[in-house]
Amino acid sequence: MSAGKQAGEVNASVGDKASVVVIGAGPAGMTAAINLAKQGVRCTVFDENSSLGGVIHCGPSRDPGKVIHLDKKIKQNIESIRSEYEKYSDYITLNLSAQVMGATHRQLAFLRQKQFKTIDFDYLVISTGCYEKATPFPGWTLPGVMTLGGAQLQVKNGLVRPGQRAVLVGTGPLLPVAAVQLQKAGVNVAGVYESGRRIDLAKNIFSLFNNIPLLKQGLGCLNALRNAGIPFRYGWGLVEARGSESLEQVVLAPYDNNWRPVTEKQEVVAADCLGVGYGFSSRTQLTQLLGLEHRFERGNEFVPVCDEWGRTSLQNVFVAGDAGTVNGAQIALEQGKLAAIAVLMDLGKFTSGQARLQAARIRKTTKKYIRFSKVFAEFSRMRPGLLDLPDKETIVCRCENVTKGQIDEAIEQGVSDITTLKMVTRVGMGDCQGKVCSNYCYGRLRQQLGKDDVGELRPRFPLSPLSFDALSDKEVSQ
Amino acid sequence: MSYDIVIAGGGVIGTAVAYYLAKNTDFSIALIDIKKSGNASRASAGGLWPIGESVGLGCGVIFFKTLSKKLSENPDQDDVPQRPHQLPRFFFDFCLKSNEMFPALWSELRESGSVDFKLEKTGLKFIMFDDHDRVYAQQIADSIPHLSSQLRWYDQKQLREDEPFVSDEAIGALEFTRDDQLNPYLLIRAYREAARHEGAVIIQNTEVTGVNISAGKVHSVETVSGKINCDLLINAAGAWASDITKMVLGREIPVAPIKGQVVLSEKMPKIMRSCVSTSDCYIAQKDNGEIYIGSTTEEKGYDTTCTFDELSALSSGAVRCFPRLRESSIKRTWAGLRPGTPDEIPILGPVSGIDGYLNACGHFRTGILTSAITGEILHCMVAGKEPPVDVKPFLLSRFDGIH
Repeated sequence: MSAGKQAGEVNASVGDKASVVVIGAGPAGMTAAINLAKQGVRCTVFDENSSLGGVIHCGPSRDPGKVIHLDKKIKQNIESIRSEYEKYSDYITLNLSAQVMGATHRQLAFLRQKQFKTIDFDYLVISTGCYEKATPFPGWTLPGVMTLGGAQLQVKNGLVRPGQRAVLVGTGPLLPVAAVQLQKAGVNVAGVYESGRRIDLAKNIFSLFNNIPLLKQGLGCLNALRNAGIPFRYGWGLVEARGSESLEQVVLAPYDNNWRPVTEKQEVVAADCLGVGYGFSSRTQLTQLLGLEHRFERGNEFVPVCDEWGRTSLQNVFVAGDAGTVNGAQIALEQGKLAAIAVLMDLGKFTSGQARLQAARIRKTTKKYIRFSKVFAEFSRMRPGLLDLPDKETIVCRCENVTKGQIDEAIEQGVSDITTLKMVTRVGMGDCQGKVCSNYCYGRLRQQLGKDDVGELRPRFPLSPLSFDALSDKEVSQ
Repeated sequence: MSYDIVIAGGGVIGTAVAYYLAKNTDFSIALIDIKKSGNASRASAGGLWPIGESVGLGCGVIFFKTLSKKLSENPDQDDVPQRPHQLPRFFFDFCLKSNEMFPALWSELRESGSVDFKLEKTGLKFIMFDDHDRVYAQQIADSIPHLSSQLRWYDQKQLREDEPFVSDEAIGALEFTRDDQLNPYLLIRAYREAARHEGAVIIQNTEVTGVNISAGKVHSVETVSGKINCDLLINAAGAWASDITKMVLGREIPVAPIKGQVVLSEKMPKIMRSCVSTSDCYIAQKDNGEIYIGSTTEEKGYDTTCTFDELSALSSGAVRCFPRLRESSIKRTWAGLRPGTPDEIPILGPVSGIDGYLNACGHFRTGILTSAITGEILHCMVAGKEPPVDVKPFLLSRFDGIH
């Protein structure tokens, strides 16, 4: 799993001429860029979106003040990112609408304005954030079923209402926030179903006081739902989605401790929109492509191994923010600073004493946020029942139409790692390279085999489909 | 644990040997497999190109191109070969015999392991763009008069009729009519399932970490899952074959990883009737519509990084031959490590001075094609039968005295 480390050695004398590349213009990436710029180190930032700020600040045409889920602290931080970027823009080359396609230990490949280009780097900071996990269950491929974040983004971007009557299911803080936003946008929210148990939050109530703004915001959302008469039920989850052409009904039931539905008590709710949000996964496509060392964390989260600075198993590659472990924007900001400090230390801009002093201050602020975030990490941790939710015929890999039955059959026949599972069933061989199904497949293998190490489904270049036209006309930049 | 025979390596050679031994002998067999990055069987495009590969098309074509470029830059140099790089006659026969085994093997493996490895009768066309290509093709044809019944020439018009999506710039083609293709993953799986059906045990995600020898004979192997007693160890460890020989013979054998990068397209409508080789690359469309474009020949140790310049060159070569590809997308790329030998011939059979050990390695770029005959030869060696070809040129001892 681990890559050769020799490629990561950087000559400190490169100094100001070092090529530093940052991927992601969200809280982590921009903070890293700005902190490098403050010390006179130039960098190039890439982001697939057309504006900076990251997904947390999606909805380019909107004033962040109107996006209700941003608490004041984050709002201020994003505003300061924008103004600081303006201030240091001479040092920061911002490449927006650029899609990263792949990387070697020294070179990044990207597509911008239909042109395929490469850029050499001495240091790479990966802050690619996270994406919402896909949860397969019977009926999840029906039109009208979407991820919770997907439903929320449609409203936040002011484009369309995702449906007339919505049911939201999943776990974690996004659930009440998205419910309020959908309701305000005029969607009839029929019910919100949180699979975690209220008692698991209540017993950690003191840890939640570590982040009072977020706590207040969550309670505010729950209150707003109550006032609007929208039921919010803890300990409930999905059984299946039904419909002929598109979604018509959602079947829900109370969940036991392992998140297995108690079907005797199931209820059927009519809806044309179902938002399902069982949490987020770090975007590890690039860190895996680079061959960095990874591990499972918090149960089933596959993440790159990093030290206290965010340095990965390659000396010159850093990870900051949700791309390393999903902890949210506030912690991402601080991790962006840490990565920048470590690069500056490598470049000889800071002595290790200076760097450590600054880092100590930063870690003190992140500590309490992490305490808060850990409560939800445990509360929302995926329980094994979710892996049993799909039935035999449910498609798990949507690119290659592989069913849960085929996956289980392969495991029964002795497949004991994800690479063989891919060869035998074709899971993860489609265009998305396993972005959608790998989470389920890792979980299922680990559950059925009762072991942790089931190998790695490694994405390949190009990370998104790339036209032959673009690659055959490749030009080399810098 | 005790087995009569332990096979190290679960790629196409290891699984084929396991199948032929399990089917034809009563020995108990364990196949030990570990997934390593760069495993050549998984990286393969699945061409069954006995003539194409033996005359240096397929993967060998880029090698030739490098040589001819060198020639055009230094016209006076006389150590540069002016002909396609061709392998000796005995290797030709070895490849052709193996190729002939596939139709029967196809039905056999579907029955005993119920896996269909998708054998397709396609032919392999060498597409010509200029006079250099024509001279090259003519030299190939002239050098294999005994195989003329398997050759077919196309002029520009005939080529266009047969392959309407080939570029208008192509001036003709030479086809090897019995060079076909299959699905490499499914072939390995078919061998493995059939071997299992015949009683072989497959031990996955396990590596041989040591070999115990006494009185000049292998008697057990150490693995991460424990010791396995055995009377015979077969080395089918591909590009990692020397890791095994270091434990058995105390030295390396001349098998080294030769990196090949491959580009895969998204699923496309059928645009090719045959598999194709040009002087830039080979191109093969599989039954599900995906197109494989390969491949480089690089000596980079065990590195499996995909490099953008090489991938770009392969893509350009494919687009030049099939302009229609411009509109489609590249889905994935990867690199595999072929187990290369200095003379490009596999290393099979016993080694003097050690009992209970057989080589089945060094298959370079023809492992998929020659897996069948390799399985048959190893089975004959174990059972004391006459092998289908003379094995002398395949023995490790051919390198004795060469350094």
